[in-house]
Amino acid sequence: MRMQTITSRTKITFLLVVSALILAFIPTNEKYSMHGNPHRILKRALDQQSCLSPDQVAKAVAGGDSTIRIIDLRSKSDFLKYSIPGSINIPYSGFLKSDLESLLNSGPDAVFISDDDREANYAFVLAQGLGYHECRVMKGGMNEWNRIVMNSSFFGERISARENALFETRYKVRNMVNEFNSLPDSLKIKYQAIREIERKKLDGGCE
Amino acid sequence: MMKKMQTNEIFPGVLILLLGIAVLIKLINPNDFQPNAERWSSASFDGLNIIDAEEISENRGSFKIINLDNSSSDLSLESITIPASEILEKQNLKEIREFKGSIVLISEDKALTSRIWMLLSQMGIRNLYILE
Repeated sequence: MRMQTITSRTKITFLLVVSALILAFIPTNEKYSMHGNPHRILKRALDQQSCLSPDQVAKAVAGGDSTIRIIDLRSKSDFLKYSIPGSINIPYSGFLKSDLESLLNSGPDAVFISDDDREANYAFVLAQGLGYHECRVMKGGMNEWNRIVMNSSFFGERISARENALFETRYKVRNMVNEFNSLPDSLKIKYQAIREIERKKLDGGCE
Repeated sequence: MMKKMQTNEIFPGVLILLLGIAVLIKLINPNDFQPNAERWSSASFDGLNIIDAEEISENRGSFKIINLDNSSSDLSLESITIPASEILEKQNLKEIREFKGSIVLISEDKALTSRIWMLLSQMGIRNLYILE
């Protein structure tokens, strides 16, 4: 009788220990919950290296740089009206419902853009907290992009080599963007779909 | 036999106690992220977390301005400067959580206020706004 009591007690103990382990250490819905040390996330949030200027993004676009992936967080309608060629549209309102694993954890660094700084930076912190560290933000969003890349002009008598390179890149990207955005929506969507297939191929996914 | 029985009783008991404490700490730690990121970021989807100076002026008593980088504020309201790098210090978090009204974040850098807003919201701080 005494031996049976000890065995029952041991079983109950074991069950309680397992339940406690489950409660304490296995999160119920990790995909949607930020985790990690808030202090580390704060450190990343304060890191100036996490922001790219519009000129840096323009240089990447002009050069067909495949190490970055532009994620446009504006609404679908705004995106179709005007967007940077090669960017992927994930409206911010659906950001946490999208497949973040394939977007943010498969090769290129993500660069978030929105109209201004807000939504891109919200998404940045969310991505960091969900474990996706390879992401950055284009400073100033599309507003700054339009001001600096699309609408700026050089005024002066002399231009330095650096300024010349800068304006050449801007001019090249301006043409690319204008050409792309003059396409009808159906062709733009096809272009994006082809880019998506190519991206998935590179990531090892299926068509 | 008696000794063995006692060891068999005490050890699991201690283990359960320790695990229970670990569970409690994880569940009630106010300085950790809350589950369900979407819920805690919902105010940002419709811009409900943005507030303008007029609204603050109309309800002066119930707002506290937190200046994240010594930027100037024309609002003559109770305000404190907490550098963004120190926002998660225990004392600062305590002050934010204990304030009964709404907290408004201001900074010269819009990106900074957005990032800090999201970080604090995900830690369960409600009634947090960004000054437009």
